[in-house]
Amino acid sequence: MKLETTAIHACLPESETEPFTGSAPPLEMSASYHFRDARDMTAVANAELAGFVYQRYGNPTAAALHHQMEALEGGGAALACSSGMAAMHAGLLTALQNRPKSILGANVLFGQTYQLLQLLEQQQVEARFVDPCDLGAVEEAATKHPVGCILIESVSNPLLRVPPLDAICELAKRLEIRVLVDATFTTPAINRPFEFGADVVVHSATKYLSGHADVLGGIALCRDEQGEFLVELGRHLGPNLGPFHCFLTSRGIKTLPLRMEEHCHNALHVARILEDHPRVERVHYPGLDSHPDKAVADRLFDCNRQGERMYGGIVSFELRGAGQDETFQFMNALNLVVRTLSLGDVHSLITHPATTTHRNLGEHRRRQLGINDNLVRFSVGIEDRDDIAEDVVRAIESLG
Amino acid sequence: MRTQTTLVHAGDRQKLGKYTPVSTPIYASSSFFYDTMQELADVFADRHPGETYARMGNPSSTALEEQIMALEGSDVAHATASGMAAVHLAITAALLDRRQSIVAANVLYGGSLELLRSVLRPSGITVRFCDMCDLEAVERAVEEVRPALLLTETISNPCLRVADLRRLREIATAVDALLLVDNTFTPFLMRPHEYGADMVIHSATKYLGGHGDVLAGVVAAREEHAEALQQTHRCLGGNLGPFEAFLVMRGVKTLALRMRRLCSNARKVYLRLRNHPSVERLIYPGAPDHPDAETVRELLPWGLPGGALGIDVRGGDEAAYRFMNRLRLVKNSASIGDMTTLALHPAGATHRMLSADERAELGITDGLVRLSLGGEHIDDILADLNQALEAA
Repeated sequence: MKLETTAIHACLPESETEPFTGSAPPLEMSASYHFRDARDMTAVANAELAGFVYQRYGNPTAAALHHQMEALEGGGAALACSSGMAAMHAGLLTALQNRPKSILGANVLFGQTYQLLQLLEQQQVEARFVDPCDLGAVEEAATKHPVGCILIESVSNPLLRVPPLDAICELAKRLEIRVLVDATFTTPAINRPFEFGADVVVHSATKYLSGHADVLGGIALCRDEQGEFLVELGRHLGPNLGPFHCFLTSRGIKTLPLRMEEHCHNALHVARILEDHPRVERVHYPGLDSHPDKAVADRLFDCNRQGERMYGGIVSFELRGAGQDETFQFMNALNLVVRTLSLGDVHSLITHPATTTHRNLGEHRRRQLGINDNLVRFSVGIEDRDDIAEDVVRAIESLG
Repeated sequence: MRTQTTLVHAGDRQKLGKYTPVSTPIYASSSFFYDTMQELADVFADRHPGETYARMGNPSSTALEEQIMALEGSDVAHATASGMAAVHLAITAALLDRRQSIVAANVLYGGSLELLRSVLRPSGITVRFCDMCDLEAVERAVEEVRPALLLTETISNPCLRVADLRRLREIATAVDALLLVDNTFTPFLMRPHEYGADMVIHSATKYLGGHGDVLAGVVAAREEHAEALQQTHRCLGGNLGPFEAFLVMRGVKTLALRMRRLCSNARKVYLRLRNHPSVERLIYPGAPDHPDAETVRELLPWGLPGGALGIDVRGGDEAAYRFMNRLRLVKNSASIGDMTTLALHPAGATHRMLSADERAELGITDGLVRLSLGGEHIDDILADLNQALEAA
């Protein structure tokens, strides 16, 4: 079954007991279930009998979303969480199961993920950092100290580097290290990290998966053999995604393949225009020939139905000679594009990482990583590409 | 203003431009935007109040959090995706930059026990369990493990013991430990902060939501824990969705009415069944012969010691199941605090992960059925219980 079909059908498994199936997953709000025979409650809780007992243990709307994501990512077990960070937390603990409590993380990560690693240090989980695009450095770091898990983003936030997932997984497999991929920027519409050998996949479902700026959610997925651990962990920690949000996310995923094609198509168009603009110092987009990881992206990312490679919907760029004030001035001049956090929405939106998503890293570390004051992260929407480009170019030129 | 009034009003009616919605809207928005970037950056840097991104806060959950602060007399509150997410958030925040050591009640909700035993202990946190009603045992445990945190429930689940929070506060203070109290069983009936609790947690799935249609939790705390809680909450991301926040808030508006009715029903069931021949033992915190009767009188002074009751059915688990399976109005369910009266067999459900010996030690007998009284008419509840007890 092709991806577009799976996205639409996998949240509607045919009922084994009823002669019908709903055209949408049920929005099931029950906190608990009533049992005619009290012994059945225990049997269901012990998984000896199919069914639901209590919402934290399982819910039909969440189950539909789990099924949909498992089908899209290609197997494994999924856990819908109350946010991308909750999914990251569950994913990291799963990746560290029966492994040294030590994480080798990408040196550029979403700011809050970096802070989560600091929080985990309280529980004796070490974290070291390495440039994941430098395979030699990854190998050196992974052999120097015991490592339980390598943590990377499929496309890094906000500098859009593309680490060689295939080579990292190969290396990790040799060293018995698990690989966790935050695939928020790519989604299964562009690639499925399990196919390259990843062990745990995490999504902020707030972004492309739900896609309409109306859900805070996350998904953690792991391979079959750790499925029970992940599901149990979710039951212990209780970061459940509510049924209403599970429903909205499932509904969003039905259009994910369509939306991703359009996001990618529009982003490449905008990136090319920006690259040629004299007021733009640098464009970070893996689809440009100038991008250091273009070859890696060509190897890892899928093509759309027209045979065009999809490089994601995010374009980061730096304004030539601009400080924070002038960068804000540019952003304030945008009419169509929304100034906010988040990404992956149907509408175009723009973020200033240095003062928001990566603010807590501190100025020194931001400088080191190249997250400069003139850098903006542009999440290209599914509007007409000419309208998007016109708004951005007009706002740039308003700077004079 | 009396609490019953506060609960109907608190958190609502934040101005939106020229008009004010009477009840708080469900803000589904994942993110928020401003006319200028400087405004957004100022909010992000905590220089101005405002919303940025739903994980950092959302007007729907903020309104609920204000209502909970009014309910508990707390300085801060955080709404979470479940009661367990609240327990996890509170413990993680309480241990931030402190000794990784906890003394916890030996009788706790099964989910809390599992979190402590299966997740926190393996992550290197010292966890010592003890009977919180045996103050000498608590003192010994505290001296030995020097905890950063004491964790207990206002009314223990499912044995309905009531520990003296004031004494636990003194013991905690002696070793500079925080006192974390799960108030799930007694919202509105007791404010644990008044007896010295630093943080209060609820499974809002129960009495706060009150209608069996939402999974949620809250952590309420004193000002000095605001930063640790906020920092931890943002990292763990166990947020409550806006739709769920709306439902909980809607439930809390009737909390005072519901708690009075549920407590009254529990008392009437106690009075009617205490001498029933099929009942081996009736556990009710309002009973004069309850082992903690004096503490109950002092900590729950309005004569409303909760809406839960333990019926130890004569004849062990077979008799308990016969009784439960004959219930028609009363439903067998894993939850509590609903408008529907609910029955549960702890040994087979919430506490099934404990060994038979462990259960026996805690007083969770095979015949014990936990009853969570609902808001139905007492005559209908009693009729159903009586006909089912006959079958047992």
